Amino acid sequence: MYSILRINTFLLFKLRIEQNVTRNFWRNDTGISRLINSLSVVHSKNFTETEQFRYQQIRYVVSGFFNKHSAEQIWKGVSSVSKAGRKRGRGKIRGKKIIKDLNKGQIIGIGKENIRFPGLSAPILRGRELVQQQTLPPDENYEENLIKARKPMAKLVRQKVAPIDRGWSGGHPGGRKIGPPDPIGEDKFENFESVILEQKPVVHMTRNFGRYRTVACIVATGNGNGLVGYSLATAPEAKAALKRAKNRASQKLMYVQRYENHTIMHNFYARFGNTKITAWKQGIGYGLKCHRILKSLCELIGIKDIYAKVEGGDSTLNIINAFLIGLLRQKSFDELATETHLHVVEMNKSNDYFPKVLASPNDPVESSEETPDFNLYVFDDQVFHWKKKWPPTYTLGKRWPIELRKRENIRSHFDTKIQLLAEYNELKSFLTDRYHECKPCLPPWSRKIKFAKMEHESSSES
Amino acid sequence: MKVGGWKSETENLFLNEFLNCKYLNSSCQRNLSIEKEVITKETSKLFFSEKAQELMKQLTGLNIAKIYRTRTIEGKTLPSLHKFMTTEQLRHAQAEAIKKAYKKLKMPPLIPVNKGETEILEEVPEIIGFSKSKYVFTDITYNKTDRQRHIVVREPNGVLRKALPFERHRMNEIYFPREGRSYQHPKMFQKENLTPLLEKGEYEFILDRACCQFEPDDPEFHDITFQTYQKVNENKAFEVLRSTRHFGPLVFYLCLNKNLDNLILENLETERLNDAILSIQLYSLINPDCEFNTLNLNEDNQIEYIRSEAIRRLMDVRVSIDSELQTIKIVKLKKISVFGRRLNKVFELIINLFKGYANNEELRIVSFHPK
Repeated sequence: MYSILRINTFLLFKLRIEQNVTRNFWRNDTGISRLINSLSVVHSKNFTETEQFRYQQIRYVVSGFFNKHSAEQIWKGVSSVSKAGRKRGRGKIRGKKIIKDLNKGQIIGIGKENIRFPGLSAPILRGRELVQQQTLPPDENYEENLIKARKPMAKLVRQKVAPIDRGWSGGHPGGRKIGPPDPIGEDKFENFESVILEQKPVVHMTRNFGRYRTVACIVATGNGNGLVGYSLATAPEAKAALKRAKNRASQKLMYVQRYENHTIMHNFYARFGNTKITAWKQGIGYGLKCHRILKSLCELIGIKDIYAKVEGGDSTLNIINAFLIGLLRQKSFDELATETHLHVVEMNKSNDYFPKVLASPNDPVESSEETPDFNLYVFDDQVFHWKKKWPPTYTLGKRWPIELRKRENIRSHFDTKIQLLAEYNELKSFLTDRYHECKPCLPPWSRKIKFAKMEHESSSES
Repeated sequence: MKVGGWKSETENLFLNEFLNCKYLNSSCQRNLSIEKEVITKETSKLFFSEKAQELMKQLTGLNIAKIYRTRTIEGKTLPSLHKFMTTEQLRHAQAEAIKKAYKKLKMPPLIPVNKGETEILEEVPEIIGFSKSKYVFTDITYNKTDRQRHIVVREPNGVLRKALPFERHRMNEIYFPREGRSYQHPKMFQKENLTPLLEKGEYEFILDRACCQFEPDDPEFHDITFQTYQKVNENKAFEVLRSTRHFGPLVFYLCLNKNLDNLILENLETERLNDAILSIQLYSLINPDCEFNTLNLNEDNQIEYIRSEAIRRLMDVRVSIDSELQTIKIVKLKKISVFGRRLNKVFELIINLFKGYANNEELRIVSFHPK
């Protein structure tokens, strides 16, 4: 506002030179222009009365709010948050008022009234002729352009991220993909992809700076074909930390065995710290049903089908460590066969339980009464305790049997409806041809509509 | 187009019936389309005879990898079980699997069509008009198969009769629904849906589902299966049905209709001389009036005879095409004995020459001079 005032006083000074300034030019809705308007009235009287002061600058000292304070001060009054408020999280709220630069989009000499001022907004001489001051028809786009120029400064706007790049949840960077690691010399990391598994601010105290903030992040990278690596890095800025973690992860790659490139070799149990992970092998098309960190890791490794449970601690690093320990400790079928001196045989319902020999030892046991259970063997003789599934609470009350009794006569309506639609392409049965009124029951609301229609028809006929 | 120079010289030989030149041109094939043989009690008896069953089993083969192939449900497989086994256990499991494979290859029976004749059990004129509806009584005691079960109908005119096949199907499906069988016959068996399926080559699927849905004496079952067999024969897609339960009935059907050319041809193309011999044996079994049976050969001689005869018939041939008369001339040449690979090579050459002729549809002289 201060700036507008400044421009206008400047204009006033300029205008004094010109004789044919009309009062209408200053007629404006804003308070400031009204103020200036009154000034100009005073001035114009002076102007006409005393011609000898024609080229003399006159300062008008009007005491008021806008004259006393600088623009910075005025803006601060509107937009600032106290230090206490900032500490309580009111510092960066979306939708809060922020400082605008009102000079943006404004040009000296061009205003609401479309007037050409030679020497200011137009050249003084055109050819040999002196250009005269001229009022042109009003510019309709003037205000629109001003608003357009000021709009980007209006509010804090959050940057948009495409839904597919948002990671596990919208708010945090966890699960976001950040591309392959940087190439080292001529070695490029082709087909690699990196995922942020954790990014958090960490703080420590120093003598000089006091509370020193940095960003720590865990990034894993993999090629979707058995190779995977992960690393933790800290840096003052998130971007630098991510880059450092990503590139360090590419230096710590390890190879993971997979069964037919789609699932783990066998079920396993692994533990790191208090985090316990139990993973089950699955068939083609099952998908990844596990913790989101494991899901991201599996995608990087190239595991497509797995079911895993995480129990105990939920620290990101522990989960990653436990899972990778489990994966790296997997045994190939040959190893299992040589350890046990038994044939490893796979049977699947999809193959009608045909005994497919996966591996045979060099010195197989001919016959024995007991052979170890495969699942117990790979789980290190541990048995997973499945929690009991309780029936839903709504079935426990007295009301439920009554409800069931009430629903008894409509329990198969949906299936019947589908079957009738498949058979006759509409809701009717073999009886409908003989007895037209015999039609499967429609929902009450539609019956109402039907009756209303019938009544309407009968009344219109009569 | 006429086929000359072939029949006159060889009409005494039984091989004439299936080693003629029907396959040379598709227009020829259309003219010589077979009439459907109706399955009688005698043919059914023949089908179940030990010798025919043995031949069909041998022809079917036992491709374990195909029988136990992975079958996915909407592209999904189930998680597999793993086991540690001793050598003895493994051998036992493998033997069991082979036993099971034979069980899976059990052929659907070929029996005469049930024409829907009923038997009137009782007539009670006193109760005429007792009701507007028929009453169906079904015996639902356990330990009875769908075919054994007593199902009777009391008509409004007082007649008590045995239920018709379609009534039996409905009652059986209501009281004893079976997985894969539906009350209404699936729409895929309707003509407008079946033809595109046949063109797509889903033979095994059609035959499997028909086995599940229909009784073997259902006329619709005969219609669908025979239609499929014909299509398989037309497209020479025998490999699709090999090592499935449908291959035996397919060969039996083709023998019955004296339309074995494509099968023999396919056998020789894929170096299955033994299969060709077996199918010829089955052919002679089903058609007792063919020349082969009058020769009174014992078993060892039979095979030798067929082998030598097949080679002779196939090798001693010169093909020439007369452009003026628009005929293909096949002239018998000097006898040569070629076995195994060589035979197939020579035979391939002949086939390729004919194929070129059929595709281009322009007449050119083709001759074949074996050394």
